[in-house]
Amino acid sequence: MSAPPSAPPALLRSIRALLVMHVQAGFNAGLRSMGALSAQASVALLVLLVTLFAGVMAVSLFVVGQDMAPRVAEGHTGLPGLLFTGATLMGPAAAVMVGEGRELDWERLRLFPLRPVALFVVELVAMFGDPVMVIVVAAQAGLAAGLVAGAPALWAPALLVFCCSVLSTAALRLVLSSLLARVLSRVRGLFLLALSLGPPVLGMLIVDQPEVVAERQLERWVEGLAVLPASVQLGLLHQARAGAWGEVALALVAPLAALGLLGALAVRGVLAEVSGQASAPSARPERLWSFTSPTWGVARLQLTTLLESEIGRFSIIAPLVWVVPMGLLTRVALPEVPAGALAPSVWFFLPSLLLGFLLNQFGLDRGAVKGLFLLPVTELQLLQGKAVGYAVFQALQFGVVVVASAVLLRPSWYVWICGPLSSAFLFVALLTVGQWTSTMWPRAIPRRGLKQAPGSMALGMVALGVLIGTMLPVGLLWAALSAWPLALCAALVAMNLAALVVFRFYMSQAARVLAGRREKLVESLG
Amino acid sequence: MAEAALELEHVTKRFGDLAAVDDLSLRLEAGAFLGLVGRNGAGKSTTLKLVTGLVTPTAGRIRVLGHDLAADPVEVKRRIGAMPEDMALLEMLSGPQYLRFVGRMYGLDDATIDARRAELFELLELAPQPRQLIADYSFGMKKKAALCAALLHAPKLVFLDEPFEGIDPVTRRVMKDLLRSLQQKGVTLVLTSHILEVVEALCPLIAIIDAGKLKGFGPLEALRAPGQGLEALFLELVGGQQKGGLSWL
Repeated sequence: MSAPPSAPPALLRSIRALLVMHVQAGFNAGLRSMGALSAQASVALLVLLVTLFAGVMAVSLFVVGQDMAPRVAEGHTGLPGLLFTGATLMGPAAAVMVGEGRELDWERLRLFPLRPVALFVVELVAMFGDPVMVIVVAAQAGLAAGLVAGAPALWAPALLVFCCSVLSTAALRLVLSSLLARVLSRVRGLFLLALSLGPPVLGMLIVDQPEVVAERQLERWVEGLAVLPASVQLGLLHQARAGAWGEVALALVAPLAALGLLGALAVRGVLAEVSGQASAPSARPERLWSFTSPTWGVARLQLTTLLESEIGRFSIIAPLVWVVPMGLLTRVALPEVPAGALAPSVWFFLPSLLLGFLLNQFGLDRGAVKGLFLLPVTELQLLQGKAVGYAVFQALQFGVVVVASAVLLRPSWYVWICGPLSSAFLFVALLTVGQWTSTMWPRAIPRRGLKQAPGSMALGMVALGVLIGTMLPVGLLWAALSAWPLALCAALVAMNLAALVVFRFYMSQAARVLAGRREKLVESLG
Repeated sequence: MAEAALELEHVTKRFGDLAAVDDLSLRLEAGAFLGLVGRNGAGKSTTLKLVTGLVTPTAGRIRVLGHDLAADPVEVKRRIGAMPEDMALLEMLSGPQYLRFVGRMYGLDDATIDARRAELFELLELAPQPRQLIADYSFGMKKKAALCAALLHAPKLVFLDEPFEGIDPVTRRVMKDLLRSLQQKGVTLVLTSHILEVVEALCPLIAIIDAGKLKGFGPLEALRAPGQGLEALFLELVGGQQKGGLSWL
């Protein structure tokens, strides 16, 4: 080895190295996730998709902004403020959830002679390389441009709010990247509860009123949104015209203070990881498991594996993606459609959320499948344990749907019985088929990020066939018997019993298939 | 007295009630080769994290190559090389991409980085596929890549945490020769290992640590009785006793 480095690397040099590494790591991760596609095709596809989405968002919000501009100039800034704030809050959250997790693990950089400020600057810049962030920024730019096009005098507040929103978006993305995983791991229950109950309760507050009152309520809410930092900034012009210079100062100071606070949080997150404070061992004693049989042990393991994976956690609250829009749509936009009429669709939709898991039951075990096969349990016990684990997980989803439906959809009495029965039938059917597909086409499912493992063409065809083959008869049954709820209940009970009989019979066959394909599973998942 | 390459003065690191490192003091001259041995959980890895600035001591002072670590961590990191137990690799990069990144972070120019990387890869027989990501390397390949990263910038003090774990005998031999040649060139080396035979053969200086405390420190010849091996000395100092079989097997 020759002499030690003579000149210290300048800050800019570190920044350059970090940025190059960011791009390379992101590109490599992208190529990896694209699987069989060539590098050029992957890049072209990604650029096309991002451009398309960003363009659509920008144009749509330009039109919206242009339409709102005259009222904004008069001081009604609540709605555009909400849109900017929504993009600032939801964009980073979506980027963190949809992305594969951060490619650049800050903790890994602690060995380098690196000033945290370099890392912070790079991370802030690199946030804009994220495709979701590109789309969000395009949307914010479209909205700001629309406001200026609709009322040219708004250029100064629109520019201010755009700059603050973009910086806040990047800072928030950084905060979420560093903190979300730890926050989720510590207050996961609370977080899930808030996410599960928050939107329905919010929806109830907004829409659970007679129509006229609801409209007034909505107006009050919109006016109340004027306190959002983005709304305050947009009110700059109106307040200046009115000579309210104190409020103008507030319009400049308050949002910048909010941005500063967010920036400080982001810096703190980076420093905590770079200095290693984030990885101090926990002093809390570990809670150990106890279970009464191998089957329950496997069930507990399966449930924990699901809850510990990001995609599993997301699946618990995913029913809200269906329930909340349905509820709000029928209450606000389509009051002539009874919300309860849409409730059965939620129960139909529910098992499909677990499709990726049920048809690939060992996917989340990944390399740990070797450990499972080393345990002194039979293949039948393994399958039974997994079935119980998935059933408990599905029951948690049921809980979320029940709460959300009660608040937003308020279905008829028989839907409370027939809905879960339909879901249960679909679940058992998928579980049964999954015991075969899981051994035929096993694929490792990433535990971080929300992307599903790309399945084979054969698995995709089977999944499509199973969905059509199970949902169609249930749907036809509902169509035929919804006028006779008791008969529908009875028919669904009969279908569930039949499905359970088939499941029980088939499970021993599936266990034999699994015994013969252990090696294939270890090879594919290990 | 000449300036020490590494100096710890009454260093303590606590995690809650647990003292992972307890009042540790030692001094290494330039060109020393120290083998740090101890049981699992004795505090070896925490000690290496302390001297590389990865964790901050609860009490005490650490000086590295003449710099106070607490006052000037960036300067210290610029002059040392380290291979942590978990290797700390950026797995979404290929090996050459990773080393290019590491080299740039230490202020090396690209031509130097590439030349050193080629030499290191050849010496350690690390031959990944083109564009193969580190995530897809075998465990042994990852160890080699981590060693390359630790040495690329020609550090004057190198810390290696379990460098021989999971390494095949041929590569182990190559690595041992490489470390010996570094020491001959005046580089100070500190390594931890559970493989006492390797430590005995490689390291003229030994530090035995148990429950965070230094139980013995000095040249092996001075610590052991005539004819006594490192294993016997280690067991004597940390109180390891021969135990019977299992009552139920």
